[in-house]
Amino acid sequence: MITIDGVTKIRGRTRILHEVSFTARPGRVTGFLGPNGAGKTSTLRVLLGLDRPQAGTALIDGRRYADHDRPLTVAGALLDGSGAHRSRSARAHLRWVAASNGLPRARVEEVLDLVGLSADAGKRAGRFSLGMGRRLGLATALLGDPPVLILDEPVNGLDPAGIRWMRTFLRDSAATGRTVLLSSHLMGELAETADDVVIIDRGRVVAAGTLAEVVGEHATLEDAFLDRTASEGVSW
Amino acid sequence: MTGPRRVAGAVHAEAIKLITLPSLALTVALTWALTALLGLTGRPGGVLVYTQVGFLVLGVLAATHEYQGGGQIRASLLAVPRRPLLAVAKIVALAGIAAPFALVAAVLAGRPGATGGLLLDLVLAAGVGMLVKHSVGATGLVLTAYEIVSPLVRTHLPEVARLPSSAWTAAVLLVAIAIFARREA
Amino acid sequence: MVSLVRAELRKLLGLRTAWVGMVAGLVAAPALVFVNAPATRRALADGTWGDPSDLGFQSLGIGLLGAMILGVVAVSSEYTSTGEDSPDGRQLITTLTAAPRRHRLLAAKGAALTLVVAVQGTLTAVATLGLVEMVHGAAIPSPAPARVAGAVLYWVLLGLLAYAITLIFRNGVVTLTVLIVNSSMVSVSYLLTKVTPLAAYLPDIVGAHMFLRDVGDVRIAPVTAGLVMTAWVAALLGLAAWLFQRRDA
Repeated sequence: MITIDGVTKIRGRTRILHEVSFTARPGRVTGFLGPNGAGKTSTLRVLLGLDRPQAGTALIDGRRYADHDRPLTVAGALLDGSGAHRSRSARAHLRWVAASNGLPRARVEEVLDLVGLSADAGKRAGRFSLGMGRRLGLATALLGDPPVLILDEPVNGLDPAGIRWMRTFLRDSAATGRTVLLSSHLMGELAETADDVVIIDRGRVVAAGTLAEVVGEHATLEDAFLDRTASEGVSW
Repeated sequence: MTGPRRVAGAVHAEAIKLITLPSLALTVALTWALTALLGLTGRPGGVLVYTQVGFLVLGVLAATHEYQGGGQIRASLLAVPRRPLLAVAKIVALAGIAAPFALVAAVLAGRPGATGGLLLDLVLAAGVGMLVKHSVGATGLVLTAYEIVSPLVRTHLPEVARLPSSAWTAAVLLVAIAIFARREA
Repeated sequence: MVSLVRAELRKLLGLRTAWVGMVAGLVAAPALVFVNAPATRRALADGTWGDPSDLGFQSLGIGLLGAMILGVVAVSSEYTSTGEDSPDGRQLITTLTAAPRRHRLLAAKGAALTLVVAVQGTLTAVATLGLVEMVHGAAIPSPAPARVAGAVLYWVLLGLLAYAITLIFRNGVVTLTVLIVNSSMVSVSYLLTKVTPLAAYLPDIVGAHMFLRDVGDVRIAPVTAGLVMTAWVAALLGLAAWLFQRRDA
């Protein structure tokens, strides 16, 4: 369960997030939708304790991410990039992450297998293609077998097979009771994956609810999105 | 996970990071080789000053590699979100892993007693690396301070130079940890 | 070609590290004159100072840091990733897409670097030497214009040397370490002159003979020194260009 309540983030003189509030519930895929620069990544960074908000709280299972004893067993996150230093092998990268949270070494091989990187585990991360880097990032997120998954634009850089794999994986994760929060600006993708939708625009949440509620009388999610976000000209 | 186990996990993770980074192993190997080779020139006062340069670079690289391509710093902060703990684990792991390598280097330089001094320099350089984040900038800063500014200070302001190097290291580390704990990743 | 040089100038002057280096070099050398003033005055009075005409020029040394840093970052900035979000997004890719003819690119970069370093060197030299005259006035001879020119040339050649070495190693840390150590009290080049006098012809120390009289134990004529250093830099730049042409970006 993710609870974001009144989060405000100011950087310099710009208000990046303005009292952002929403929840993501277990057993459901929550799509976090918004144009580029709307505040999706900033919200996720606050949620993960990477950035500090000026006001509000962002909690995972009732506590801030940083206050959990073994955070990787509570939430797994996939942000942009693999998170691995380019001259380290994928296996070495996962080994240090596992050690940091006292996870067994065997778990490294399990997640490598899960994302299909076993054969390339000895390769340096710098040699990875974009798609392989994303899969390594996902493997990192899954190391602690967390009940909450937080993913920033997870299908970026994936090929069609990878996109389908990711979609199935996220659906299955929710089906087994996980809380899945993913940000995206790809409407079609979200419409097929998400149960709930939160739309953010210029730092404010402009719509939130089940997919059906947010689409409402519009023909598609895309129409609903554009209607709510494009009030001031083209916003890409 | 209880307190001590959490600390142990964080230190263990940092140790794996250091051991699996090829550039660090290369820096140690080059430092040893340079120390041994320059030892042949019979420089009066010994060659420890060059060994020291190697350990300064090692400290900078150990700290700044977090910020090089790939965004590893975010993975680190997600794994160990308590930043003072992460920073301290880095320093402890670095000093612990480097100790035997520093001893060998000091022996090669003919001054086994200098091991502790090398470790202090190493850790200070890591603190600067944590602050500056950028490997070229941190190298420039640390080496300028050690090789160019410090000899001047020793000549002109001897009372400042009399501060023990452990005091300098402690001051830099405190500032580095405080800033690291506060800034956005 | 002019537009290419202009683009490279813009890139170089857009780097924060480059400005830090330039300003640090520009401030450090004159500051050193002040810090050293009492000790220098004593040495001059005792007659323990070597060649008084060297005085101003020796204070210049620390300003060379600026030239080195400029030479290093001109290259290293191309090889570091442009952001944590794009590990492979090196600026070099953009650069080579905009200017695919690599030799011309290197020439433009070198030209931009030469310009910036020459300006920074001239400013530092004028400021430092002027200050030395103010502080020590009658005790020392006025700096000869030819030596000032030699100092600025040394400045530019050192910047280009840093540029070439960084291109060869594709790593700014290596270059900066070698050059800073070599310009300090514990210079490896100088140490090597104790082993073989030929080491006096290594690129960084030979060039100092262009504007200093007292360098080490060997005396080398300024013109010879300039020619030897230029040859070194040209050779290393040639090697760097050859490697850069052959390597994958």
